[in-house]
Amino acid sequence: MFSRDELNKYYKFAYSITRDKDTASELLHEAVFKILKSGQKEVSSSYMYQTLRTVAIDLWRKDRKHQAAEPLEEEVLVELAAPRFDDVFADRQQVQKIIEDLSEDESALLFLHVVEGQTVQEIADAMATPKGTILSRLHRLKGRLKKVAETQKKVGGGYNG
Amino acid sequence: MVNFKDALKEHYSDINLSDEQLASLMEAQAQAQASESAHNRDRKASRSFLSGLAVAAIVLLGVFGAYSSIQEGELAEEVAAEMSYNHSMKVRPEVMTSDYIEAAKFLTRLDFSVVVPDRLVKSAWQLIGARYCSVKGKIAARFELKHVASGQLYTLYEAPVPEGGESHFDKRMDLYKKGNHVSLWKEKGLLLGLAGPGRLNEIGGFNGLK
Repeated sequence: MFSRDELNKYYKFAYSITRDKDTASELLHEAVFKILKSGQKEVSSSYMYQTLRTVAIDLWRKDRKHQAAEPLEEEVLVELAAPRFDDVFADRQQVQKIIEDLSEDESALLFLHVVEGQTVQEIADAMATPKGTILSRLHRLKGRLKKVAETQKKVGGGYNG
Repeated sequence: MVNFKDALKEHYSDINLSDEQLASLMEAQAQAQASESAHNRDRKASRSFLSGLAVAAIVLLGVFGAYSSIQEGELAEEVAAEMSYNHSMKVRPEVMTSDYIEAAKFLTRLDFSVVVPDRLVKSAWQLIGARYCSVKGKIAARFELKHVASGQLYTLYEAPVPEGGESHFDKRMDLYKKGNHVSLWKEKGLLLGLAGPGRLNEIGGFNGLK
């Protein structure tokens, strides 16, 4: 049903949520079994992303730490267009730090938007979140990333290589 | 300095399933498809059989018994496949301990209390560590055990009895799935499963008859 490429794509998404390879593998396994059990022959990427996210939320629901970190839904539409991320520059180590500091939702959002190149509507469908909220989060994320990059430039930081 | 977009893509290009993980997931899908086809064939056969024999009560009772047995078999196969897959993943325990009580103190998100498995002979198995996992969609506990005689690693699962399995697993069931032997039994209201390289009947370390 899922090809190897698809499984790897979903694994990357699971990793974007969990930031842990073992947990991502468990999450993917759980989601694939859920789909197989439902007897569905074909499922869209959007549905699979949603399933992975639902499974992750189910597993985390009882974890107080994650409950506290669960972001509040915002319906504020900041701008109409989705921001681009190719004009933000940072050094490699900084990028790694930025990725580690993202929340689960932010990380998943960046993966879908920047790596998978999905539209805001597609992400809204996959994450079962209003389009305005997705846009708002993307703009906030870009603002944060630029701030981190600028701070780094001002202090003369940066790493070789 | 690098472009953030390129750096993020590069970061994810290194995140891939291992060949073993991919093979296991592909096999799970193939098995699910094969089992669905077999199930459909069984359903068709069952329909024509029942329409032919109409209302003989004794036959209906027989069919009911067989159906229940098929259900138990299917559920056991699913659970065993999941446990075997998880065992093959060889994920690290989140807490290292040789004491179930200590492990239980760490596993606070479970909906049930961890039990010390009475059926496993204490001197035959050494607990190494524990972590969370899920079985049939329910949060569960998994313990890494060393079989003392062989030194091989096994995974013990403790999970709520899955839906539809309340009247099953009273007798230990031994299955071979995805390259591992899996034994399932009920203890203190929980479903316990042991997955690993050897058959319990051959390696020993289990209290009581099968």
